[in-house]
Amino acid sequence: MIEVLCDNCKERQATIHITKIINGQKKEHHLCDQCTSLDKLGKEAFDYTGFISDVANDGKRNPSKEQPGERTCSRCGMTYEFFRKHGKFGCGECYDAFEPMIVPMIRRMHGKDRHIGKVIKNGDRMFQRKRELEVLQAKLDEAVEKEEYEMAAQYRDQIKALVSQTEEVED
Amino acid sequence: MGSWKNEDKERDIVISSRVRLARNIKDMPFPVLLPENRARHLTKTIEECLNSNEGLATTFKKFDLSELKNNEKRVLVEKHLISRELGTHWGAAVFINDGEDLSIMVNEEDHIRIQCILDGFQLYNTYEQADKMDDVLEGCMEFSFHERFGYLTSCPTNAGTGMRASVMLHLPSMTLNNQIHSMMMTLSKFGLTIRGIHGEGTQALGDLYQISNQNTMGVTEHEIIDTLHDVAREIIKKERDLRYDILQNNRIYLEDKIYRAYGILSNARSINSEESMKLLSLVRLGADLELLDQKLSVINRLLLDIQPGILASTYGEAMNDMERDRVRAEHIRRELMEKTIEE
Repeated sequence: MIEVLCDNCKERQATIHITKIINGQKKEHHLCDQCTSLDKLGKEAFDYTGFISDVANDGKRNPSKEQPGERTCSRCGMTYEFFRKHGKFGCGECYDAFEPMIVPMIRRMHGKDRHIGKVIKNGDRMFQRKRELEVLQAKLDEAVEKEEYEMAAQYRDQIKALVSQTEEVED
Repeated sequence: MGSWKNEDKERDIVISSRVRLARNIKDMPFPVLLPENRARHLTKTIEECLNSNEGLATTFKKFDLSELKNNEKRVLVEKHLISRELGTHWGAAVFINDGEDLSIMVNEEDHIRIQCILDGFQLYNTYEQADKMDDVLEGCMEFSFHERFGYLTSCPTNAGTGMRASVMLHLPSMTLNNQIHSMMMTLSKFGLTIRGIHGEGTQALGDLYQISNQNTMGVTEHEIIDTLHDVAREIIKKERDLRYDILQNNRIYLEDKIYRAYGILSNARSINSEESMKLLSLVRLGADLELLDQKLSVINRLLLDIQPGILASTYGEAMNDMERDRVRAEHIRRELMEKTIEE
């Protein structure tokens, strides 16, 4: 195998090679072990749009026949049709992509549609901050709309402070 | 009374307790879409995490599913250390600790499935150990978690807590009395379900049943354990009452069944695993009711040792079905008679 440098760090030798063919155009990604470590791999190397459609259509991909309105996960390309057939999602973002369809299903399965058990580390703090940010953002928008710029500036500073705190927690 | 009575007092009915936690890695496609290199990288990350963690009171051995022989995999399935499905995705592996009570499946339906299995009625201990392992792994990686849906899993049937807790119960009297079906109806009201010994769609060989939670969302892990624990207690009580009820009101019928089973097992020269399980169930019942002078621990071990994979790994893997049935019969005779020989 020819030695290829990692697309991401341009320093180390690539160990993971992903080839995608989009509209007949071949696109290759080369990444090293370190850049594919669990928290560093970006969305770019994880875009399977089209692959799922191929599987759902038994390998016969025909873009002209795809339903324009069919919901697809923008992250992994999972179609709702594929999920309905196989009962499996392609990635965590499918939950957001198909939320309207899966909530009734989850309610039928579990009787509830909201998790109340253990949370990930810092989860409680993170979600609380997220909610605070949403509230502050709404207040900021309202202040701007009413042309209360002094208030808006205060909200903006509070948002900035909260964002930097959140980043510290995540680090 | 045999010495087994010193063991915890539910062991007449409860064979084992198990908790499984499903976890996935943030920003990583689920195993169904995970490329081989990344699947292998995940296994390596978990291995490094386990090796570098000094706080672990146990050491793990890694088994790469692609390197396992068919029978080796079968043994792990029969011991309930891996699921039958492990191996369908790239990079499937399992880490098993020394005591074989903790296992971590990698790249099954989800990236990680932590499992703790303990003998007897030990649901709380089982959860505690699985929960600790969850924390250890989370120290090395970030899990996929949703504010509303909790731990995200490949299949939404597991989302939320990602937890499946189960107890394996021996229910010969309820089976004899055709009460399993009506119990199934009752269990569903508590968000619980009943299955055969190897999970969904498997037979309840040897009158062994797994009771587990069906709901994983909208309940806390402790509520799941509490519900399962309380309902299992009720089932244990019912099975015990029935045992003594049959013994009092239908003693000859029950004795005949138990002694015939013992007669066949202690004399048979060839026996398949299905018949063995059926008869061992009755011998186990006889041991519990003290109709037979046998230890429950011996019968429990036999229920596992006579499985095709485990038997083949003990006596040589090149056996055909006929040889295996002969060896199984011999093994059972020896185990049942061992105590008598010792005396």
